Amino acid sequence: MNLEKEWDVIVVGGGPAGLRTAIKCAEKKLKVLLLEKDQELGSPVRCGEGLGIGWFNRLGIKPKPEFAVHPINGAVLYAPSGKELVVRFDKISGYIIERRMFEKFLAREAASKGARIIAKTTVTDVIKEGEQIIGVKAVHAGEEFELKSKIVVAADGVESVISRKAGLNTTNNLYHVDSGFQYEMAGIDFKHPDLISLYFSNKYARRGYLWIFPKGKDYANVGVGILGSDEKTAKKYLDDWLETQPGLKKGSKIVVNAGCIPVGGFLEKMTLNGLIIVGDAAHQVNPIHGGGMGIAMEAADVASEIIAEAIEKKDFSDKFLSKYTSRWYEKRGNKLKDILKKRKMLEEVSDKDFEVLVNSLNGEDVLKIAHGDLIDSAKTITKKLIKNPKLVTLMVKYLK
Amino acid sequence: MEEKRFPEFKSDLCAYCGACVAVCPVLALDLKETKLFLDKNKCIKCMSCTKICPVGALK
Ligand SMILES: Cc1cc2nc3c(=O)[nH]c(=O)nc-3n(C[C@H](O)[C@H](O)[C@H](O)COP(=O)(O)OP(=O)(O)OC[C@H]3O[C@@H](n4cnc5c(N)ncnc54)[C@H](O)[C@@H]3O)c2cc1C
Repeated sequence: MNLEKEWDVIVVGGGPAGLRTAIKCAEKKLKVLLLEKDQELGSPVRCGEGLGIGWFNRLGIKPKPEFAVHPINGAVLYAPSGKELVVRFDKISGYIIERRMFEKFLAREAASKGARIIAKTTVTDVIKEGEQIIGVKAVHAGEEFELKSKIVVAADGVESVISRKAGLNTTNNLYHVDSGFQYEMAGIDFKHPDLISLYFSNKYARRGYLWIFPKGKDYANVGVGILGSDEKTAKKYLDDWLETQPGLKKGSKIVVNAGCIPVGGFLEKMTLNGLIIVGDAAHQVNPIHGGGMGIAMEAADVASEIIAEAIEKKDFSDKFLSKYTSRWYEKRGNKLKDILKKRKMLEEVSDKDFEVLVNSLNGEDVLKIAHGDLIDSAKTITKKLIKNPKLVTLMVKYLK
Repeated sequence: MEEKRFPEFKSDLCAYCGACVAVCPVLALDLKETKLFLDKNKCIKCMSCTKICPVGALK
């Protein structure tokens, strides 16, 4: 393949994590190459495509209509009985995006800033000199070749094969991974096209939830995420539930997608000599709702800062690069660990108890619980406890 | 106890999502676009892939 042999940075994988790394490294004038195994960036989609407004703001990404296809004003939570709890804001709280377009948008930005991107190129392994990773082996259209780089970024998604080949165990534990399945559906009827709808039920989504992420008034991503070790498949959960939803059941399925979501198996170690792991490959996902795009791009920003420092200081050792791990935990990882604790509490809640919760909390309480830290949540719940003795029994049951 | 066996793959059900690769502790599975390969020399018959598979293509 007609490609320069030596790079500052080689990024493996063209999802949000890899593309954002390429953009940021290019902005820092580093010589960066991104290799993507699929023949089209952004496809196939394995995602509900929801991205909160906070991420657009923090990352400085404008929600352009070419990919931010549908604005969202909040969420509605459904208890197993069907009772709803609406959390609606008076302004836009996020967008459902079109990943196919989003990845292309990011790729164009990376390329125009000077990064090089090559699709249909699989990285098969890293190259080592002693303990130092000094490049990658790759295949493009049947042709094998080797490339050198000062730093390799493994942004290869949940499969996370490259880090494992390099010697870091990133295998997903079945307890810390959700199995997901989704249809993009058209010609459907649902109540709140301006909100994301989340359905909780141990019957139809064990340790997870079903979702409707609207892309229009009769058009949405409809999916489910469940505990990875569940014997019943995610597809079966979704199909069974759709049977109970007349407005959805009659619709057309225009895309089928599946995938798994690393929800909480956080890694203590995210670097090796010459290697940094970013995004799903490093299990950087919100353990409660499974959102990973924003977190992946933020981690890419942290990674590229460290990469630029490493290149300036000519120090590509694990010791130097591991500053990425500590900075990421400071910025995001520690918060996610707290969220994981909350999930563990939620997992224990039975369908019946969930009804009690939904009946005693209002939309504002839910927001406090979702966004606040554990202390804030505890305060909110305690106030409610005083008013509703039934909740006391629940607290004793779950928080012992 | 049930005798250990290799996972069985039904390609017509597969959605090529890579979930199985993500949980395989020994990198015995390799997904190449729309083909899935199982290396029986590496597989330890732990059946994790059959549990995570969102569509039941691995049994
Ligand atoms: C069903 C489902 C619903 C979800 N819903 C949401 C949601 O609504 N909102 C949200 O924020 N997140 C959601 N997520 C999570 C989100 O999709 C991921 O967190 C996000 O895509 C992570 O980005 P990434 O760049 O780390 O990985 P990916 O997007 O997976 O990108 C990795 C890329 O690397 C490529 N690659 C892999 N191996 C190699 C190799 N050897 N050589 C070259 N290229 C390689 C892959 O082809 C892929 O393009 C969902 C996930 C699933 C499965």
